[in-house]
Amino acid sequence: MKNNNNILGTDQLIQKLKKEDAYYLRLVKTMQYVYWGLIPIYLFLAVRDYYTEGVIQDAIGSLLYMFSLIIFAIIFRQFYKEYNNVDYAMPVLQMLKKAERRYQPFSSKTAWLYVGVLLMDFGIYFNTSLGYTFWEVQLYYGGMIVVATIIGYIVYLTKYKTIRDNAKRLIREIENG
Amino acid sequence: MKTDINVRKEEKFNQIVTENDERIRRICRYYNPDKEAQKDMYQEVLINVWKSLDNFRGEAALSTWIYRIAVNTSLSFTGKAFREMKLMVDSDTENLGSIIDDEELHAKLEKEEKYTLLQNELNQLSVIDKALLSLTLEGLSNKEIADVIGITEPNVKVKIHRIKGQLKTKIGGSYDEKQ
Repeated sequence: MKNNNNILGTDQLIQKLKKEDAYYLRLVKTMQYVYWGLIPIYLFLAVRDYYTEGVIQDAIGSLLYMFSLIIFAIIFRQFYKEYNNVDYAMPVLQMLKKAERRYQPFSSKTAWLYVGVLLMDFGIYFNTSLGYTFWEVQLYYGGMIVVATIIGYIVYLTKYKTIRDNAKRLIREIENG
Repeated sequence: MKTDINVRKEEKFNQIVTENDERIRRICRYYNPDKEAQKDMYQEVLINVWKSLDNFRGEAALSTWIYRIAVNTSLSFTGKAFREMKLMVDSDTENLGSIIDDEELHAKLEKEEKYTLLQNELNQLSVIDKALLSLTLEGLSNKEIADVIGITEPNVKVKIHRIKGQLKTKIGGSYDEKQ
């Protein structure tokens, strides 16, 4: 019997794909450990700040960090699930509609991401050990977020907008053409 | 346990690729004029087969499943390929007669031994029309095409009828003008 794998060259491909799968799984697991590991730490800090040192402001700061990390952990998990469950065997129209939704610049997921960012913003402000005033936090942290948003939007415009526009055009073509 | 799952996935992947190799290669040939691009797309289809394998429940026929992956891959292949997406056919294409739908015209084209006219007209079609035609050339029924594209069977019938009509008029017209 002929070894078809060698003819097709699929052996190397499988190895590459398995390696890639393992890499993403490792990456996701590490990120999940970081997020879910930090959450109890901030909860502990909040409790300690309140009960041991009686600093309510720092306790609120730690709780805000904790809630923002919970949001990031959940969103990250959803992104991973979405990535991991990309199914190219869907009917073409369904696949296109999903792509159109996936590549929209602002979605409910983005809104939740900003809620997390906002909680983190207030967490930094409430944390007295950092010693930033409200406006300093907005200037440094807020400024960083604004720059990151602008960069993200530029990446969207250059990389993903074309894909989304193509998907929208094809959907129209299938449904009306 | 995890190793067993991986081994099973690998075996299933090899089996699917071996059984559908020619089918996948044909689809890649329809969309890419040069050999290198065909190889790239073939590789891309295999990657997407691997990624979608965990979701394969056997609800659709394996051939439909493969065609969906192939067409979806062709549509998202790369931005460049998408813009330049062509539908390449040659005189050996098995079901070519089915898209021309006119024996006399088919014979004229065969006599001419060149498919330039048809080729030009095919490449004037929209991306979705090209995808529909490639599936017709594969000998799929309207029901199967509907399953691949995700529209109703009557809708497929209407679309293919329209495309065939357009091709017939254009090729017939161009051929007559040349005479």
